[in-house]
Amino acid sequence: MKIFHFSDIHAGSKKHFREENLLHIIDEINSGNFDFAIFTGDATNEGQRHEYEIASRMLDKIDVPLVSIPGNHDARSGGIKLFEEYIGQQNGVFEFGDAVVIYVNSAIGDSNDGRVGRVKFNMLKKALNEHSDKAIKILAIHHHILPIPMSGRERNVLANAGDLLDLIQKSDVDLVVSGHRHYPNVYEVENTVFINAGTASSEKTRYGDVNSYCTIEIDETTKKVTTKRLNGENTVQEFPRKYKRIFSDFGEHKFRAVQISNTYFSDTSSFLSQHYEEAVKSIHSFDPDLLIHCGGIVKEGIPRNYDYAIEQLNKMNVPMVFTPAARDINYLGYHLFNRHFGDLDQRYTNEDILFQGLSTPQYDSSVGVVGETERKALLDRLNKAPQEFRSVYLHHNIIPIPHSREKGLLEDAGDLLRELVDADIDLVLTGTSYHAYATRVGKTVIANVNSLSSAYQRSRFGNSFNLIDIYEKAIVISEINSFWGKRRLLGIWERNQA
Amino acid sequence: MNKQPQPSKSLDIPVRRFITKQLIAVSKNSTIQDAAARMCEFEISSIGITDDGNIIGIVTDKDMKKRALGAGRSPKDPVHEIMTPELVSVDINSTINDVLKLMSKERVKHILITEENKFVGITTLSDLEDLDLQELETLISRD
Repeated sequence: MKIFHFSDIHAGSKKHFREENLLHIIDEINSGNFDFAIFTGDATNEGQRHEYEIASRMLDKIDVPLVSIPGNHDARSGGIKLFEEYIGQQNGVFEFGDAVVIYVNSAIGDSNDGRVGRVKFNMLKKALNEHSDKAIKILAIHHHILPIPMSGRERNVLANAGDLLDLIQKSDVDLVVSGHRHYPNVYEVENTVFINAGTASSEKTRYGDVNSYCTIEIDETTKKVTTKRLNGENTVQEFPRKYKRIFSDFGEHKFRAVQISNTYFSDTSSFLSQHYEEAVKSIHSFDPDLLIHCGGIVKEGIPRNYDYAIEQLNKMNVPMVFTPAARDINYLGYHLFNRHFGDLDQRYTNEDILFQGLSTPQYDSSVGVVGETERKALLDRLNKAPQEFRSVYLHHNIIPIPHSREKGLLEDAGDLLRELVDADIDLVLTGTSYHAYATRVGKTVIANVNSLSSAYQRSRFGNSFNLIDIYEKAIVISEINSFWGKRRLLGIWERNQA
Repeated sequence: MNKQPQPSKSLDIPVRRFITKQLIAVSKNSTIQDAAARMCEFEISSIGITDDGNIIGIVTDKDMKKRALGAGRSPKDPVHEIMTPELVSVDINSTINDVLKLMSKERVKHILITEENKFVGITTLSDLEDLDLQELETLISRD
């Protein structure tokens, strides 16, 4: 099956619309034997009638079946009604042989942000249930779900991206196609390939890039994605369609780490002391080599809380490393963290394994950042590390977490994610949003941990910590309930796969 | 205004949405002791038995008690001697309802899940009892 994917044409914009580029792309569609094409939104620039007229005239030139969805620009000036008049349905299901494309409008009128609200979320769930047995399942949505590199501050704008990501993975969606940020990007997340096509014909590209689109070829064994830039530069990526399901050979057990966050040490009721006591016993019973605290050590960065934290942490008879959250460095926290725990960026190494801390919070701000200079230094350090297993731990999430509103709090999450995945970093640990989650992007396993002992948590599984077992041939991550010790598997990932 | 309580619709959902599509296994020539150790390591109540990478049977906690300990076997015996080779399985697109019916009909608590006739996972009655816990999507906004 051959599919053409393009996005963000921004037709009619006097300043930014490059009609000749769109005509070139339409020629490619019509001459390339494609089964169908998907256009992922921003047909117009301002949602105006004259723009829709141009967009509709252009899209009508396409000879293959076309699935179109609106983008945020199409919902400007009340233009979403005109989308239906000129282009087509906002949401729906398109079936083609063994394939199904489920498409949803994620635009909010006069806003650049995105949302898949309750009704549409349920529609999406229902459609995925009904088409569970389709060989190829595709979701088309304008706003990107994973943060995109080279995107500046607007790195993640879909409010319930975490729930969507979870639904996509549980439903075994093969492809997610998006636009919005004008920068082409492809990620494989477990079994799903996420494609951002960049912009087909808007002059507003990023970082001096040119217009682009993607072609997708799917057969029984492979998903082949080609990103084509109009300067002739093509990038081909191939992803398997069959995944390892049966794990019988784990190889030698190398290392066991416990990942925790949001202990919230304080003499207030938001610190659950009984949960903490039980968790300490449970953690000792696993006899870990290392405990990694992903921030939220204290409730606020005041001396009383830090003193209390030291008293409590002394009960934990395990080597520990820490990275701060914003709450750890507010008030006097900067000084107190340093005095009690040492450097902001800590690390643990042995011959084979590196855990590198990365401090991301900013003083008196919920927005975190790494910064370009710091990212370069980090990647340099990681690439030069002699250890065969390299891991980074930080507080802020770099992929959306289910059951929480995605606020894109790490300013450069898009760039950091891309760089860590491109460097084949084995494991990234984060500790925000109070919900456990683990998945793999490219070859990098990413695990977020719930709060260990804060009254504020979002999971019906309860407060918990993550148990990370590194084997020669696999990484296994389980979530352990702080209070009862109940355990559930978050995932097993093969290591050193071809 | 009084609203009628709604019946749960989750039983009509494909089992695909609720299973870990990963299966922990040992090879058929492993010892009973090795299999028991792995079941303890991952705190799982059943384990797949493989021959040349393919699942040929499963061993459950109950088998460990009844066919190994209870039958006075040596922990060094090969694990395939205590496995259940008649595998009860359903396709990944079957509904939760189908799975529960099959569990009841076959009198089993563990069912293997297949996709395109290959084993991809295992589900247990207690996993399905947690269904409610897994339906966690946040309802952030209307629309």
